[in-house]
This record gives sequence, structure tokens and C-alpha cells, in this order.
Amino acid sequence: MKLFLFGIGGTGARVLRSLTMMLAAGAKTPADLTIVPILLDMDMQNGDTERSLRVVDLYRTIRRGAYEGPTGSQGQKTFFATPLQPLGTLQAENAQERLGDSVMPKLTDHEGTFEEFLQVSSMDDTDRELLKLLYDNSAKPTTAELKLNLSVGFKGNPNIGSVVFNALEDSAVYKYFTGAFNDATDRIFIISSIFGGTGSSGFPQLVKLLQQPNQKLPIRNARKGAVTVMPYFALEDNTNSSIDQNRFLSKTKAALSYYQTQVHLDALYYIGDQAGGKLYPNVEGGAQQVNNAHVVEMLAAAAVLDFARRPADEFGGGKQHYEFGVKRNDRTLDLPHFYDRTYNDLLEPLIRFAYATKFYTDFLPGHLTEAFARNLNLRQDITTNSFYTALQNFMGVHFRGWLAEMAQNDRAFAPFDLNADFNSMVRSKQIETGFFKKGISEGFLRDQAGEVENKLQKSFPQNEARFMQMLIEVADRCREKLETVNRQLADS
Amino acid sequence: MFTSLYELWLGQNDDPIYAETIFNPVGLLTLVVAFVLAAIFYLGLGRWKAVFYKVGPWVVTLIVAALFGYAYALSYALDQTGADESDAYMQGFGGVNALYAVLYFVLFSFLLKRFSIYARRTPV
Repeated sequence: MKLFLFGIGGTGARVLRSLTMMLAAGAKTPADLTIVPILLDMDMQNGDTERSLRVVDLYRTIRRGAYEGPTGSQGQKTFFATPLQPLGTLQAENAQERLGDSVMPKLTDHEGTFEEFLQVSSMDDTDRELLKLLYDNSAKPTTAELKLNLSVGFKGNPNIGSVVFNALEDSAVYKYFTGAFNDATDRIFIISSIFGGTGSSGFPQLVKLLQQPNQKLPIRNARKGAVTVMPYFALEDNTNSSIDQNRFLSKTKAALSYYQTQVHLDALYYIGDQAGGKLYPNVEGGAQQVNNAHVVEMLAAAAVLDFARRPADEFGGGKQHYEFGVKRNDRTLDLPHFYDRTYNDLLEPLIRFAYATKFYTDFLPGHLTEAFARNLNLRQDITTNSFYTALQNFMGVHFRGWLAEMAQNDRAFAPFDLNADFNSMVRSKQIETGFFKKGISEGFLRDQAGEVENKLQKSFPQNEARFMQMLIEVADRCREKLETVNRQLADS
Repeated sequence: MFTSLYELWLGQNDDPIYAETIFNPVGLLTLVVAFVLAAIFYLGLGRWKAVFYKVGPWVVTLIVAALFGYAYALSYALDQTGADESDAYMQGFGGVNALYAVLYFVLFSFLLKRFSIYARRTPV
């Protein structure tokens, strides 16, 4: 089953980043799932988007090395298990234009202001005056909507975005998507925010296109879902920015009432949060818009997986609405805050991946002379082979960074302290140690890595595939040492 | 076989007891002990846990083999010849046996290391 996943705007990109992390960790997905991420944004330079594209690229490089070699398809697939396949790499009927293998194909060739996009200069006077009634044309740079440069997105103005997204139907990316969507089991999911500009305008436009009566049958009949991210953060005051956070809630209310009557999908997931004390920089877009990861984005990504896991026959009886809740409204969330399904499907895999990350980034560099490392030729390959450098970058920079950002945000999600030792890195459960019980010690890791690598030599002659299997098994053995994690919340 | 190996370095001793009753048992036991030491290092400890498996411990085991080779050859020769103290030939025999113990241990190391887990890459 292919899941065509549209991520619209900055929120779409940030949720895709979290989704990639969870897929890397081995969050529960259907075995035959392939995700086709498609980011739709005018802001090609957006910092958040750039980061998401980077992690998807790294994910694909790692997955290729680990599973796509001659023996890669055997064995366990836990980490990096689900393929992420860019739209342009699929076969598409009647595709007139090649898309390349980026998950963010260019939406339009237009570069310039909204006024230029509308070709106002070639309009007659009546149309031009009507436009001035509808859009702010004042000289004030922060509010002049017609003068807005579209290369940084719609700066929180859905009234602009909806006009631009009207042209989505004619875009190469949309045409390619319709050509590539042919299987009755394939599904469509859309990620967008409701309080910004790009997501809140792109989402209804995209849904409208998918629901058109002349739309091809497999698309019209496909199971479709969406997650709508409602306000969850607050911005710093910035009088030079055209993004006005005071309008977040009113925009959300207006959009929700529109969705109620105009958006007909099989499953609609809603998520939001009261903004915390940590204010995000009020940046209109571009490379400087790099917001810290937030648990809401992780849970919005969990909605994607929830939709993919639900059997097709569960849908069809009208719109299903889903919301997400935690056990207690604390400003810092830990593993016990989540109910069983989230814990088992998402957080257990995260624990294993956190162990694997610590093994790879902290333990391995100091143990490259061990027999297992030499058998894998790690001493040389770890700095030169693209599989290992991608893994180092993914785990050491992006995954650790993602966890650290969520831990520092408000509301925080801080289940791990990767700077602590292996025995105390899971905050809600310490591994007890004593004179004869060392827990996850260096000796334990050396024993496990050596034994597992030796066992896998015959079945996985290719080093990268063997290394991934070893990483999975070592992480499993670390998880066994942790034993049962306490799921009861301590008194606040 | 062992007689010629020792006489290669030491030459023939006037007392035929070396060729008849000393060289072969000493050579054989030295070979067996070198094998046992290598087996313990590579198959025992080397497959059990990641302990005592690096080059340092391997060198220590090598020295143990050499010391055994020297001490065993000397004491066996003293015992068989009935001499009160060792002579130059006996000392030379101890030294050459120590050298063979080292040689056997290195040889068995390279034969057995492939069957080890943790010491698979020891000494190189």
C-alpha cells in the first residue's frame, strides 16, 4: 500500500521531520506500507523544510545501505523499515514533466510578488480596483498583501494562499501525482496547519481537487485522511513581521467551520495545544524560519501512522474525527503520560532507537579496534562510507537534535537524557546496578556486539546490512536490560 | 621429529638420553600446552565474553607459554639425567624449547582465531 502524504507549508515539513524520526525508530506501520511524501510550499528556502528534506535524504541513504543489498531483504526490519519514496521516482501515466527525486517538487515557477502572480498590470481598471478592495495595497511593507513576495510563502495569509493554490491543478507536481495514483489500496493523507497561511489555504484547495467529480476513479475512491494542526505555539513580538499571532485563534475558528461543511474526508485528526512560555521567533519564512521540534508535531506524525494502520473497512461510514489526549496536563511529558497504544506503537520503538543512537554515537567511536568493528571494516568505513556517515548524521545530529529540541520546548517531551550513561538515559526507569550487576556497561555492549556480529556473518555477508541487524539486536538487548518501564504517573 | 628440531639448534649431546627420552616428550607436551593455551584464549575466553582478548593479554599468554617451555624442558632434563644442576646444553635446551613454545602458540593463534568471537582479530 502506498500512502501519498501531502505536507503543506512549514507545519507539513515539521511534521514530516517528526514522522521520519519515528519511522527510523521503527514505529508500528503496516508491513507493506510505502510512504510517498510530497511537500507543497512556495517557500523553497524555508529552514524547517530544508531540515526535513535533509533527514528524508539521510533516511533513504541509510535504508538503501541496510536493506536494499543482496541480503538486505532478510532479517529484521525495525529501524528505517518503511520506504520513503519521492513522487518523482514512481511510474506515472501521461507524465509530461519529470519531477526528479526531491520530496519537495517546485509548486510553481513564479518568483515575485502576489501582484505579479495575479498579473495586475495587465488587468483592466475595474478588476484592479476590485483587487484593491479585497487585498491590502497600502505602502506599509508588513501589511501590503499585493506586494507580498511569494518566495517566502504566504506569511500567515490564507486569503493569498488560496488564490495561489487555485493553480495547483495545473502544476507539474499535481499532474504527476494523478498519473502515479493507480492502485485501489493506495491512500492519501494531508498534513497542514490551520492557523498559518500556506497550510490553511492549501488544504481545502487540495481536498477540493481530490473530490472533484471528474477526478480519476482510484483517487476519488481512495481512503483519505488529514491532520489539522491547530495553534500550539506563540510568537515573539515583531512589528516588522506580517504574521499576526493574535489572529491565530480567529483564523482557526473560521477555518474549522469551513471544514465542517466543505471538507469530506474519511478521517480527520485534530491536534493543538495551549501555547507555552517559550516564544518562537516571529520570522516570516525563508532560511531563518527554523522552529524547535514540538511534541505536537510528533503526535501529528503519529496520526499519519494511525491512519495507515486502520483497516480500509473501518472507513466509509462518514467522516471519522480523532483527537489526542495525554493522561495529565503537565508542562513536561514523559513516557508515563501516554496511553498504552501510543506507548506500544511509538514510544517503545523510540526507546530502542535511543539506545541504538547512544551505541552508535557514544560507544562505537571508542571501540573501533574490537573484533566486531574490524570485521565490519568500521575503522575505515565509518568516516568514508556514505551509509555510515548518513547514520552518524541522522542519529548524532538530527535525532539527538530533535529529542533535545522537544525536551527544551514548552510543552516539553523529555523521555531521554542521551548525555547520561546507558543505565540512566531513560528518565522514567533507571537500570539498577550493584557490585555484580553492571547493567548496560561497556563490557556488556562489547559482549553483545561481538556475539551478534559473529552470529550474523554467514547470513549477512554485506557489511552495511550486517551492521544494521547488529544495531537492531544490540538495541533489543539493551531494552531487555531496562525491563518493565513504570507507566504510573508520579504525584505532581 | 622433535629430536631433529632441537638438534638443529643445539647439536647432538654426547649423552644419548636426550635423543632417546627427553626431546620427544618435552616437545610433545610443549606442543600440547601451547595448543591448550591458544584454545583457552581463542575458544574459551574468546567466545565467552569480551575479556582478556586483546593484544596485551595475548602477549601475556605468549610469555606464559615461553616460561612454561623453558621451565618444563629444564626440569624434565634435570630429572631424566639425574644431574644436580643444569649445564649449558640444558640451559640451551630450555631456551630453544621456550622458542618453540612461542612458535607453536603463534601458529595455533593463527589457526584458532577464526573460531573466536572477541579475539578474532588478535593479535592482528
